[in-house]
Amino acid sequence: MIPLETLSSIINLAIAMSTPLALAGLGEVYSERSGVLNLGVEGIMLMGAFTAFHFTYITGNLIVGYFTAILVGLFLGLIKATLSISLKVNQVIAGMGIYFLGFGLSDFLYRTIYGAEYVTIQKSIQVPIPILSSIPVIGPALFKQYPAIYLTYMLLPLAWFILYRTRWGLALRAVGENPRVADTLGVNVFHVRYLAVLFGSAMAGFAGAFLCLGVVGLFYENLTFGMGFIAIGLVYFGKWDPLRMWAGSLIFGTAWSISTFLQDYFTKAGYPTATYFLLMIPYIVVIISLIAVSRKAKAPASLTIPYTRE
Amino acid sequence: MEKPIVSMRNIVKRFPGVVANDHIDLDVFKGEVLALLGENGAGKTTLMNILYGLYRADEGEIYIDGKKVYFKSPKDAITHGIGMVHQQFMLIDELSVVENIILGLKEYGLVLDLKEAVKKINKLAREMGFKIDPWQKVWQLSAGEKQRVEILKAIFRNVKVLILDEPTSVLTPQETRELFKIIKKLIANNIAVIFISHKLHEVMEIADKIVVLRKGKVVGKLSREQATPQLLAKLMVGREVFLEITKRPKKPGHVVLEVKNLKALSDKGVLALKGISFKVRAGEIVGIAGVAGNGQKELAEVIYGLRKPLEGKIYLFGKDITHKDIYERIRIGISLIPENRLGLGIVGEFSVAENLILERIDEQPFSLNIPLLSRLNIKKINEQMLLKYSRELIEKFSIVTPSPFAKARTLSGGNIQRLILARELGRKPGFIIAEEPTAGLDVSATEYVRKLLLEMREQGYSILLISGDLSEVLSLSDKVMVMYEGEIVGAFRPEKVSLDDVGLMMTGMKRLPKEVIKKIWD
Amino acid sequence: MGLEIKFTERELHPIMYIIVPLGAFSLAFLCGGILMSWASVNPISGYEAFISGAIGSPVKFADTLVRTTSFLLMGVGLAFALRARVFNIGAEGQYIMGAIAGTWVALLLQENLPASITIIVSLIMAMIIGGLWAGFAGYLKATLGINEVVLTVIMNWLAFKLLQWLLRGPLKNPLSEMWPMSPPIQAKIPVIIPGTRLHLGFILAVLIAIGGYFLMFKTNYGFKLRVAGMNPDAAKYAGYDVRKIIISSMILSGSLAGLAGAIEVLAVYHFLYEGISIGLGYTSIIVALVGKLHPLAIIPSALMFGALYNGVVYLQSALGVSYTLSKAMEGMIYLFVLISEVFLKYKVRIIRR
Repeated sequence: MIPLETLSSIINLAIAMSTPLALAGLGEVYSERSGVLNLGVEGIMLMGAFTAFHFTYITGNLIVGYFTAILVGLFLGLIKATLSISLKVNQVIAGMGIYFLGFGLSDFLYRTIYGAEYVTIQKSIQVPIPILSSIPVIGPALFKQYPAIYLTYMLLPLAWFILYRTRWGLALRAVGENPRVADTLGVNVFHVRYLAVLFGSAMAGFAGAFLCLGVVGLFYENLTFGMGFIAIGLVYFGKWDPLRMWAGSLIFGTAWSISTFLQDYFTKAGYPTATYFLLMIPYIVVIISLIAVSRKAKAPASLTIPYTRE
Repeated sequence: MEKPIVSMRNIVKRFPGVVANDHIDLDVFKGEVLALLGENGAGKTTLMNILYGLYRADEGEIYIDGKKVYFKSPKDAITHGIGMVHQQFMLIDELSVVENIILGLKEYGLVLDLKEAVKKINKLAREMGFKIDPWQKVWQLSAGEKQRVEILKAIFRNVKVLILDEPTSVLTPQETRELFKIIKKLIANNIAVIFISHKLHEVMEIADKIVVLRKGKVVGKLSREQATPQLLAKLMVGREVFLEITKRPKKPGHVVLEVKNLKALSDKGVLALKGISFKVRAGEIVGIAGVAGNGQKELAEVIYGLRKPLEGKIYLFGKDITHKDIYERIRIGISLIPENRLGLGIVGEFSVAENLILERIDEQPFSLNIPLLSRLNIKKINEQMLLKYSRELIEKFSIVTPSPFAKARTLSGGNIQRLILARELGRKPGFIIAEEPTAGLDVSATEYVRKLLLEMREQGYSILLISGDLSEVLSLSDKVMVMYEGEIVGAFRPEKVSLDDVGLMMTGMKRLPKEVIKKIWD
Repeated sequence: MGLEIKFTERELHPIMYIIVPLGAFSLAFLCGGILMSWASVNPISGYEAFISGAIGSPVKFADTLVRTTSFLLMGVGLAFALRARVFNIGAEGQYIMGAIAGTWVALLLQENLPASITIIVSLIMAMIIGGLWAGFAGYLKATLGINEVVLTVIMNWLAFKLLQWLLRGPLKNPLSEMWPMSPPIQAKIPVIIPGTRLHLGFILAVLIAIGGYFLMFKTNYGFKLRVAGMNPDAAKYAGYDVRKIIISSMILSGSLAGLAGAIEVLAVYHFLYEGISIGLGYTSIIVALVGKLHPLAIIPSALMFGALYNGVVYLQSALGVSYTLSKAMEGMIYLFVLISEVFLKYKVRIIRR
């Protein structure tokens, strides 16, 4: 009933929409696995988006945009890490501060430089991979995508591998579960946590940059619209596993994509408001899964607990 | 003569108020089991924590293989071949056995060569005569298996001296036997084993040399051949003198607390109480003697309501409180003087006055009714009443504080205890659980507390006294029960039993017949 | 490991408790000045415009107080939740739900009932709905141990999506095609100073703040709540019902946030639209923390942020500096206050290990 072409487009958009979630989520998985909750992801994504937008606009070069976004992410992450790890400020409260700062600063900077109008940039274009993109239906869906998404395809499994099969990943997981034991065995808890938080915030910056440069093509206030917080919810949903979190982001992205396509359909059918109703469903799904997950999954045991060497 | 692999000389370690290690000399030789025997507070764990690098000694030196060493952290100790298996296992439950074992090691590559590690684990396990599944997650293992993982962890790090801290406290008898087999294989491989324990029969079985500590000092160094249970028990417990306490003989009244066949799990999921039954009467002090860790803490928690029992019943003033919450139990007349004063006993940021009515804040006249809101149990605090009451208690219990409004955490240790006593006893509960009431207090505060407990007894209150200070227990109590591994192994009147026998009961060497124990409560 | 940071608790002279936060604010305003000059505006004239915008004339001052109302109500509610150590990040969603409830009931009742009854019933409904929205999260935390932070944030977005749908559906104003809003509400909360927008809700908010102070520090409920937040083990030991404390503090916090939402609709805008909340719920968290979770101190804190928001609006019309400067400054104030708190509580030394 649904033309295959449309199905392909739906999946294509779903993957694109899920990518910022997956990237930010991956960063947060690493951060939380080391024991540090970073609620500021949303703010870092916004700053990343703005930075990418601005520097792409003035240089015309997308790579510069991505690069500066990652730098901004690292900077904000450093603030968060210093607050929560060294100064032992409550992680929830510190994270909210980064959120407020990122939100407000990105908005202010954009308005001051660009005013209130919408300015567009030459955004990323989809690049098909030869042969693979010719596979019916899934070809154009998966393999005619933005370059950053191809990076994501490789990054997520790599991140999984590093987490479970390397010495670094083992140290990370150990610090998140029982920093005291890890410390006894010579693992530097502070180094591990700092690196995890910095990685997480760099990813958040990158995610925000992609949202702007890859998906939307412009910047406006609150561009990320809660994606950062949803990413945190997805980390819980995925039980702190990168691939499960990725699956969750794909579900979310699919829901968004479907509702976007349905918007057209419903408007033509005379129910223009129905899509808004449907848009509530992804959030309800996240809430239900939070409840379901809480019964079984355990967070990294030292999550939100600062570490002190006796 | 062979040189010792570890030599500790003149070790002194002080904590506020106590000298945990008082000029201790210790030698450990390769291929031998050295047992470190002593009661709680004797200093055994402290001494070993110093050797393992968790603490730093205030005075003294450590020599490994003749060379002086300074340990800044366990990492240093591990590099020198010291390994330690703590009572709280230092394992990460969520990770697998092999991951726990190779954590922090560089030999297995950046991309972990787990297969290599697993091969070595299987080989070692086979050599030592046990099986372990290296891929299992640690939380799935039994206590005995976790212990073996810790031992493997140490061997992977080329351990030369392995310290086991009360290893059998979490094991079944079968697992204990298997542990001993492993220890024998370790010493056959020329590894030295230091075995900390308070259980005499085990020490007698496994040790080559025995060192007895008491109150921070070494009181005896024996070889296995020289040791007898009686001698060891006497060394451990010492020539305790009954304290200068005048205790008037009293005829105890009706039964206030009755506990029947209480069973409960510890935090580790192991059975900590294996069927405890006893009675406490009005005007009576029942003391629990025993080395800490034999279920006393869990017993106090179950009776008070901080822990749910698996089986059994508790009756307070005739009412079945087994399933009642703490709020109700307090109203029926229970109170607890907790061991963990700062963590549980007071709210540091609150004033002395506020702490003094902590449990009574809902009661008239401390809270006055507000129309309508009282239905939601929201009442106005009567601050004058609070002040008056706190002033009374401050005076009555001689709490030294600049004002009733001073923050509770600014009080000295002894005064914090007075505050807790004032609060608990001020509301005249019929039944009091006193957990280590004089621990960490100076002489005058200790005397005060003991006098107070006896006074309460005079007035007809019932007290369950848990204390690691044996002389205190024996002097204050009308009846004493000894707990060992979650059971009551003996109950008696203090005047009627010899000190040696008490020591033997505390270390699991002697057990009174059940009928004798039962009769005591009548 | 070469360097290590050592913390030792300390008690400072009480005067420091005023000086240090003041220092934090000054630092934040300094940064605001830097941002202004980067935006090619002279900071001095910026500050002048800012102050005149906030309190320059009776009308402007009244407007500041209007803005303060929401912050005050939500801030007081959050003081209870945060003191109980329940991190209610959901004030935003509870506010929206209250606004929705208030609008719906008002539209339903305003034809048949006198305005005053309509208003009162609407406000009560708003409090109930806001309270339930929050209480749900509190219940899940108390019984299942679910992380209330993630849950309340997601519920914020759910509330917003609900709002978006309702404004285009059941609550749509049939006459408005341009952008989504509800039909206008005739029942209004009265203005107390004619010629301004200052309404009765402000008085209500102040009364609630005073009531909140009383509840927090003069009742057994507040006593138990504070103990449970400071030392949950001691609370259990003293026989308190900690679950009840968690849930009730959330209900209280949510109902005040819901009330704030309904008041905004019924007193200021007189209709419901998507922009009814622009992050006020999140800002209220800052208001509560800067006010040290003390209902009376939250009054000046709310005032300050009300002034900040209003002053910055004027700044935009007068000097062209984007009003979003307030958001940037909010974040900076927050972070500087946080950091200053660390130095207030502890003596921090960096030592070589």
